[in-house]
Amino acid sequence: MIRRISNKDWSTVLSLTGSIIYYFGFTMLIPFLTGLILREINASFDFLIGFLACFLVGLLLKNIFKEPKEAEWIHGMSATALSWIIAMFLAAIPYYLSGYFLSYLDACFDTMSGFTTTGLAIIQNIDHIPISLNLWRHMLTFMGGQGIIVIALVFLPPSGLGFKALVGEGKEERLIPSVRETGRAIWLISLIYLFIGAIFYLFAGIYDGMSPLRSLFHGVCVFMTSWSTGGFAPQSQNTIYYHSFPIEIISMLFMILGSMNFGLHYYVWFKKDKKEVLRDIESKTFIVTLSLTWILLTYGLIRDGIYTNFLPLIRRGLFILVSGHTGTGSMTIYATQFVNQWGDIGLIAVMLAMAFGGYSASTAGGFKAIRTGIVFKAIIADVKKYFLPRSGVTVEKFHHLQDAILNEKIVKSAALIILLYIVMHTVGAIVGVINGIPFIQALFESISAGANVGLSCGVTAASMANSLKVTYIINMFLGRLEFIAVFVFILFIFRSIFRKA
Amino acid sequence: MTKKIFSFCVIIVFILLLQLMYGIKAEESFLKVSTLINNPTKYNGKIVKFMGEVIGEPLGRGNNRWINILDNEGNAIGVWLSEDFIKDINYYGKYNIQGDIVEVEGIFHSICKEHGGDTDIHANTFKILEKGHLIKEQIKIQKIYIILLEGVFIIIVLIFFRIKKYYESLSK
Repeated sequence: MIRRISNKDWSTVLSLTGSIIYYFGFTMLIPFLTGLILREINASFDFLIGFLACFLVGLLLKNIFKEPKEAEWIHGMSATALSWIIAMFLAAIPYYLSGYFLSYLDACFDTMSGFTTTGLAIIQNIDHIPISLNLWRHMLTFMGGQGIIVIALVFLPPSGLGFKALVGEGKEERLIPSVRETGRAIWLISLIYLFIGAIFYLFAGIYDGMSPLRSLFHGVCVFMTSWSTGGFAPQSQNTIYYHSFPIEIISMLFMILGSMNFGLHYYVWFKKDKKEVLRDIESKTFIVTLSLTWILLTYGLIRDGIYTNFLPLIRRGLFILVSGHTGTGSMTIYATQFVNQWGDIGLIAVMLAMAFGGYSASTAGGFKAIRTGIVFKAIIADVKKYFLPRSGVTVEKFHHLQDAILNEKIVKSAALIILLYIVMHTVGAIVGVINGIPFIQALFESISAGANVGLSCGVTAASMANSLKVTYIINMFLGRLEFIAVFVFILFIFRSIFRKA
Repeated sequence: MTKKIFSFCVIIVFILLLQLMYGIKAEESFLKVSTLINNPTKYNGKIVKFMGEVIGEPLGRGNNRWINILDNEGNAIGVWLSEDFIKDINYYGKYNIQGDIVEVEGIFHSICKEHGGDTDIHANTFKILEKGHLIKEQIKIQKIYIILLEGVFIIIVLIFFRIKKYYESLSK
């Protein structure tokens, strides 16, 4: 029997949500100070308004509702989903006040796109926006990639609720026994890479003719977008703006690193076990799916005479494929070129890559390599059964950070999530078709939003229907939290309304 | 009288024709990025005329460099041109800077073999039509009111919770 939801349950959820929003608000002080230093006064005011709004909401929720000592999974999961929704509305305040969005819905769209590391953007006139606002766009992807719960966990007092919220955010790997230390480890890993990445991009930018300061700003932004598999870029042309092969190569490297499981990074950095990367089922699956989609894409592009030379195949073909597979969404071609030039095989290859996605417990979206790997292994195991003697029994194993036995529960769970993704992509495509978009384009954009990729074939624009914007916001949200936390929260609300049922 | 009406009609038709011709010419003269990208077979390898704002900064090294030009539909394209042209550019569009409005005539490449499949224009001629300028930021006073209002509200909330905590501790 499903438990009933009492006022105490709501109190627990709202109290934790308040703490998360409270700490999240402080991140707006970074663009606020940046704006002050660069004399972008209006933008600074926007961030101050946003910060004070978060502070106020967090303060009220934290103080009105008290967190009880015993917290359950439904509290953690519901708090995660609710925090993401409230954080979207609050983080959209500086966006909307900036005047670069046509409506508050558009501001929410870009905020959710940033948080979920999707990268679809409908902001206007990117090439003329304040630096502090541009920084905020990329910070959103960086913070969203690590998870806003992870931000709060660093500051929150240790409690069982933290881990329950963390799992709701898709970061189920507990790197260290302490949840707070896990949050800190995730941030430490990301900040180490930020430092390394910023230096890489700084030199690449200077080599490309940029001034050191501009190069540093672009470097930090592009690193954040690549590592977080976000897809935003400081300029409207995205990666095309740089016309630089070195920047594209560095981006591909960080996109792949960003799409890898934080647990694997932890093994490499802190346990000095580099071989773990190749032992893991996720790496093996990722290499296989990337290779297969790359072969399909190359075949399509060569067959249709799009790119017949090696360099364009790497700089456009492979870059887009890696960008799609890792869930980044950075682009080296124009959105409409997908439809006008790449042809059906190209589109299908990219759609498959986007749907597969990156590693679990990473910043990437999609099915996740572990689920694809597990389902594939289960199919092989099922086929193998027919070749066994009558009394024969096999035990299938897989390696993901440690050896594990492939049992029915694991397979069912992986297959269920994959099924939910397929349903979500289909629903998104249907809404697109209802809005007059051709099916293949509607499906492409739906997968891109739901798998948190951000590649666009030209559908996403400020002019698209509000129903489509709302659908994509929901898809991005569901895809990022991998359904369960959102479904738990929906049931939580439902059980609160119908308490007697 | 008939002669006058006839002359009048001829003049009107002439003006209309001129306008029509000018319209066609103008349309053909300056192409948009979207037109070029959406019609690759029509424009690939052809000489095109393009007008827009120079944004960002010059990129690349050597005698030829890159600039990016933004058209009035909000789409930008890379233009590969001689360093000599770049020297004439006064402003590159950024926040609070309106970049120079320039006219470029050159060969459009839908998939440029020289630049790894880039979609670009190799400029033959380059002309600055309008010099860019700095834009002074206008501070919006309403935002200060909102900040003050939020600040006052936060102080009230903080005082309220402090008093509440005080009475709770007394009752304990």
